[in-house]
Amino acid sequence: MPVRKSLSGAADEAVSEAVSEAVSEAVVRSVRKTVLGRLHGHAAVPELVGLEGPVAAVAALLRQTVAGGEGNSALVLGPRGSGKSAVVGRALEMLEAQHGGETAAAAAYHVVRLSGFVHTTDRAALRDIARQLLITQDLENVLVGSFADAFTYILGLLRAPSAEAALPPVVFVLDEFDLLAQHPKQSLLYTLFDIAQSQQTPIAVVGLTARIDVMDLLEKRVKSRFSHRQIHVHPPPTLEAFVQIARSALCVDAAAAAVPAAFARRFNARVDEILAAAPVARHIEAIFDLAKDVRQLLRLFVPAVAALRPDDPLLAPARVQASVARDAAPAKAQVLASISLLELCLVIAMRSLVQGGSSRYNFEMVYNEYKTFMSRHMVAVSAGGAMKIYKKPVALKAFETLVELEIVRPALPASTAAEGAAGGGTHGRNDMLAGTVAGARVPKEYRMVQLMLEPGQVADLVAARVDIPTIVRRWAQ
Amino acid sequence: MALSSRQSKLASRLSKAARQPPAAKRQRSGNGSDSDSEPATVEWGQRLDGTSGDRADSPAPPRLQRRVTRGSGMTNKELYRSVVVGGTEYWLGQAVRVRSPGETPYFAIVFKLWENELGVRQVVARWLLRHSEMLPSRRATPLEGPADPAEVFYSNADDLVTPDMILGPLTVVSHAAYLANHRHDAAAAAAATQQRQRTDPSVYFCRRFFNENTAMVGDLDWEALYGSEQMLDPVADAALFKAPPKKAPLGRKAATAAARARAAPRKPTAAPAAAAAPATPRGKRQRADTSEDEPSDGDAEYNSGGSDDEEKPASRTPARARRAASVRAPRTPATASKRRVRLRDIQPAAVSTAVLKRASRASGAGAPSAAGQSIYEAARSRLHVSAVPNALPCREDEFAEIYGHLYSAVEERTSMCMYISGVPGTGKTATVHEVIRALQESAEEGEVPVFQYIELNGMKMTEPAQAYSQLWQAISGDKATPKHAAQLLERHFGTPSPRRHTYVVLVDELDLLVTKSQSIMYNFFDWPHRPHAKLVVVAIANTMDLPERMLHHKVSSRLGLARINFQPYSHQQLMAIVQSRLEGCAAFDPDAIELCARKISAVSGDARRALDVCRRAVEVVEAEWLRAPKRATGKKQPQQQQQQQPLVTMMVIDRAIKEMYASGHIAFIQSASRQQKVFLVALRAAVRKAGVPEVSLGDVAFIHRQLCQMHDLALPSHDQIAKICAQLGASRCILAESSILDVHQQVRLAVAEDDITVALRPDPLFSKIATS
Repeated sequence: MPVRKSLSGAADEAVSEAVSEAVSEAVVRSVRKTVLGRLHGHAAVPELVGLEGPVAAVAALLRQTVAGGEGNSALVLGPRGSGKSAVVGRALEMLEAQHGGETAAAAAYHVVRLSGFVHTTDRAALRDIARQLLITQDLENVLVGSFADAFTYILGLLRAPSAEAALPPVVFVLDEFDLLAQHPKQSLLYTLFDIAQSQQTPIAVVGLTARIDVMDLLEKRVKSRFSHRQIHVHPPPTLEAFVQIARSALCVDAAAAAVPAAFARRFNARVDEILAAAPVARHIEAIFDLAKDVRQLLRLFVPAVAALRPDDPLLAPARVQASVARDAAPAKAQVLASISLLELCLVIAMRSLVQGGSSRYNFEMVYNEYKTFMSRHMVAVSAGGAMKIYKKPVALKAFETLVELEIVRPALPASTAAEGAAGGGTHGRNDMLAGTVAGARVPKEYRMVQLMLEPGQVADLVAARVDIPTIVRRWAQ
Repeated sequence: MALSSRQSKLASRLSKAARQPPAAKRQRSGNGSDSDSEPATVEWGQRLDGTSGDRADSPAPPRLQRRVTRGSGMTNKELYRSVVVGGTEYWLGQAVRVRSPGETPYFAIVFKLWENELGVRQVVARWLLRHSEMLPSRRATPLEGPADPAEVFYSNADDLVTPDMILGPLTVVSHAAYLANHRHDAAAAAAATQQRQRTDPSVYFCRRFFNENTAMVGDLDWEALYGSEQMLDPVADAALFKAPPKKAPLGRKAATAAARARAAPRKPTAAPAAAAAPATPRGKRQRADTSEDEPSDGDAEYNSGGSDDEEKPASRTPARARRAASVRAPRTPATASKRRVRLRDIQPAAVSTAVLKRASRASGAGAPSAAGQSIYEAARSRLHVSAVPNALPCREDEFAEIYGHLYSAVEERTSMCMYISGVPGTGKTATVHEVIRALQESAEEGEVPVFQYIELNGMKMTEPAQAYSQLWQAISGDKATPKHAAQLLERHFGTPSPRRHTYVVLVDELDLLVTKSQSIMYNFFDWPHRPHAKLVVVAIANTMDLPERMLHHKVSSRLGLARINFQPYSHQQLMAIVQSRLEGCAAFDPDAIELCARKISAVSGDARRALDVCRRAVEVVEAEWLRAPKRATGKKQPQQQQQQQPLVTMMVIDRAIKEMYASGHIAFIQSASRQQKVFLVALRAAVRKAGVPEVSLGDVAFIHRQLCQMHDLALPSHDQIAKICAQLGASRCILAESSILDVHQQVRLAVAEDDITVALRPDPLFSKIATS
């Protein structure tokens, strides 16, 4: 027992209990593993708060396919992080409890998972379907022909060895359905829906997507074959439900895991304590107000859970608070807090250009603005002597720093703006520095740029700084 | 000896011919007039009417003409008794070898010789089939005994070839003569088959015929037939193939009689059962009992099939008669009227058996699921899109029209193209499948020739050119690359061959086969116009004016005029469809079906939608029923429970439709976080202020922060607003440019402004914001 002394004061009264129970390394490791898995979304959360309706709907649909042998299709819609995958995962668990066998081969049905991010072409999807259905035969020959033929061939191979038996049902879970719908011709979806609505193998197609306009992406023939069944998953409606999500993810279940009951009780009490503490509760409410982002909420607790040790087996409030503070801090302000005075002056100069009506400008214009302001005010403040007009090369260097920080970005001509946006802003900082932006051979002093800040943000930025002369502060007002 | 030396010469010529590309061959056969450039010179022998070989303007007597597939210019054909090819004279009725694209020549009887008005010399060749040429799929009865390589079958399959394709004479004797005079040949051949060597015997024998129409094999007396006038006489010819000396009941009349006989006993057995079920004293209880429900289900299906039996021929016969009249007008009146009469009395029997078969199949398929299920489950399985209905209600006219076209094409072994259009879910493919099913049943009865049905789907192909590969694979069973398959198909449809069924090819989703050059569609519609192709192409697409809008004129011209458009279903039709499926299953309030039909027909007229809505409605009611507290005792007393089972009402249908068609925007906005709502309101305000639909994120952020300050909300930073924007953009509630553009990205609403108003109205905070 070498390590008890490091326990925090809050846990002092529990020390005797802890010693008597001897929280072993294995217990802590298992707790850490399960809870981290839940926080990262690869382990199932014991309770899906407020999602009973969608789970029941999906489960009923799958049951009809597996038990009733009818083809079905449905879409599960909901914003990111609202629990779509969890809903389908839970429904599949329920299905497995009813119809599953000990091994994958013995199960009365098969599950195939596809994702629009992974299966970027229909062919890749087909290959993976075959792989997931444990089919290894002469696939190369099959893939030469039509998509549907290969598909029916693969499904045909699922037939039990006793030839005449019906084909086993297959459940298709299509993650990022909207990306699959963007494949040319939508052969995959056409084939899947066509099988689901015809008499062949009973299959259930469950698509998951965050896009509420996904129906418009479907080709009219594909759309006609889709059953139009939509299951909406909504984020939690109340703050209590939102907090409950965090609680159910963090708490350990004494019954299920191999965790001593007393330890589980203490662990869960600590979780409640942390969730109720002022800074954490306030931040959770802010997250709830802002976007109801469950992932952001769960991420807060990752450092604390990851730090669980046998000598410190409960969540540390300090760690949670630290990650709350990190999460609350605005990223851009942190970057801007460290720029030099000259750079700040250039930013202010750009802001006054914007206010003067020009939406894009080059270094020469900015420097000119800077120079006029300074020369106007140098006389007045010459006694102070702290300010001086920097030479142009120096200012250019500072300007380039701003470009590197992407506070300033090259302004695209209106025609290529959309294209640049679509390509994820292909004309980036490096193009700007290397001079390869469209219109190429322009010297860098004359390349048009834009400030990535709103006038209000510039004012905030200046207000947050303490070490700047009054005239600059006044200029920024 | 002379024969064998001739054979070697033939072989060398043959190999030369085989090396030539098919296109060149066609061209050569096209202009038979400059035949002196050919290696084998072609000259006419004696004319059939006894005059000399000179051209005479008097038309040949029509009674001597057999029915030909392409009838134009028929009267100007000059018929001849013999033809001289390369110095050898061939007479009518003589057995010859015919050039084939492969290594072994085809065998045929010279059946007719003529020169048409364009001066093209043609030979009607009647094929003699070898064992290897009789594809197993075409043979109804298995042949006894081992295949003798020296045996040929006398078929009634005719084809047009050109005289220069005749390679030489062929010796065909009767089986008895063969055994007597060519025993050593026979022994050698038997040895060859044992050693699995393929040697072509010099002498062949014929003892059996093969009827292409019925795929029947029967015995014949070659000695009496060969060289006799009987061979060339159309009446005797028809009699020969119609009434096989052995296995009598497979003539046409016998077949229909058998069909009737088969149909007849079914009716009485089924009908009493239908009558008996409601007449039982404890009828109610038994109806409630699910195991008793099953036969009555079957009866209902049978009855619907039965009523069809009366209706269908009535609706179909006029159309068919019209077509029959128009198609067969040029024929001699005697045969035409005879044929029409026969068609008419065959039709009802054929349809009734078809319907009966389908009904029995449907009830058979329904049987396992019918046992021990509630009315909801029964209704659900019947409403499933995949359930094959007994008949397709409301598509009788289209069925009759397609059936008429295909029936005449298959029966007369001609080619045709057909174009079917209609929006998704109007039963195009289902109707064609029904037609094919009915035709296949007719073919099984021996009423029409056996044909091969091939289905291609543009949507299921990885690329348009795959259509060639798939078609070739279906025809020959071999795989080929699209390019090679195209060549093979070209040769297949361009040259005469004894191994040829009628092919009925369904090209679904035709618009996806459109390529830049449109060569695939061109070929598909051009092959049916080749003289030797027995190819029926049925093309299906969604747009009515696809041929005019997307296709080159040369393609749409070949497509022809056989076009059928499937109108979207009207609400009466949708009602009839749903009702026909729900017959005998009282899960629906009639008003509910009507509401569903009206709602769907107003939107799309898509039958799949109507069925899906009804199925969903059944699920809703079922779920409610299961949730009801009396569920606990429900399983033990099904008959009582069933009385209380609620029906699908208009309210439920309305809910189901809303569920399926709701955009989800309002629910999405209502479940969004507070700041997201504020963002949407700010975006709406910014758009209104700017007067253009797109505004930059900076402007929205400014208004957003103003709103927050005014209404005492937590002030979000610009980063947070950008995050909100990205989240809403991911859900496509708004459309935003890449977030790398930060405050300069353009943002626009993707939901209606009214949706925002409606969604936020219940929220007191936002009603305040909206008014400010």
